[in-house]
Amino acid sequence: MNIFQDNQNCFQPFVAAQNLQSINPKLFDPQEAFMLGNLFKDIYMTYKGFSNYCIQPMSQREQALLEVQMYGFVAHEINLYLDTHPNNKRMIELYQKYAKKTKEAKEAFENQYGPLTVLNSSNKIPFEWVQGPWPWEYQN
Amino acid sequence: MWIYDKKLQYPIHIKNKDMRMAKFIITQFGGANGELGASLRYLTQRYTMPDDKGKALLTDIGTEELGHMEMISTMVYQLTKDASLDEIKAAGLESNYTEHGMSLYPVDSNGVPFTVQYFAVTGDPVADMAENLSAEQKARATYEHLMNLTDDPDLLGPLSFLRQREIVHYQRFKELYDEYVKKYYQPDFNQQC
Repeated sequence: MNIFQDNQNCFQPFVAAQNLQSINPKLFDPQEAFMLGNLFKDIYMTYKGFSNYCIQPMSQREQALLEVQMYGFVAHEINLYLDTHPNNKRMIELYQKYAKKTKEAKEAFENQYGPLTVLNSSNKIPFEWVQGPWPWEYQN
Repeated sequence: MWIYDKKLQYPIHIKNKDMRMAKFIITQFGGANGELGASLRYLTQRYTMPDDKGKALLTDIGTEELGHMEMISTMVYQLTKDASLDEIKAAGLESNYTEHGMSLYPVDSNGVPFTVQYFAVTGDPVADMAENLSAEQKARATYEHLMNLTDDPDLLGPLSFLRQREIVHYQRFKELYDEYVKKYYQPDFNQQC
């Protein structure tokens, strides 16, 4: 199948970088950005109408972890942006905002469900860090 | 130094076993355009970047790619978990089973093992960035091929997410590429008349 020939509508051509160097890039809100895998509206590129997958948390634990993942993702996206635009004041402020939200979400998760990093393991016996579930294990 | 976070970048919960898709998706672990090659390429290239921007970007994207390798591994693991010998045979995975049991092993969808040739490091920042631009596009194309091969939303969600990451990485590398070309090969353009 050749999507370039079969269905021109499904493919948005990539726009040259120069046109997108706006000082204040347009951003998706955190939930949408995380769902799509892209924080930046100008470079978002859909594929055959895929890309809109709602994430339905199946448990309280997953909901709490999603918060960490979502804010962590937004902070990471801004981090990559700042690597190539280190003087953007608005984005630096946004980075601070989402780094803080990530830390708070992490703390809330860890208080309830155990450590995400070994450094935050408590003095409980057995050592909390060792206990699953591990990220690759299927969880309901 | 890296510190492990006990979470995936994006959630993966695959309900249905699918040996066939596992055989295809593993190429994004051990194939030429896979996440293992991408992470190691970027984390190797960063030492010879000419400025802090390059060192930062390759460190940060290289680190994210390690997380993508974990996502791909997770998908293959969940897709093949508790597969019976009959299911392994039906998917034509007996050879893989013979060599590696049910463990993960970096191969492409043809079973060709990972090779360090995929690193592609030249020490030339413009050449390395151009390599990375192409690598991101090839990975995007591979994700689209994988999306064409399934209609399971449990797979399409993470595949679509990973595909979009290639687009963002492409953009960041492009910004650096343009800057390096101007800086090192077109310095006249920057001079004031």
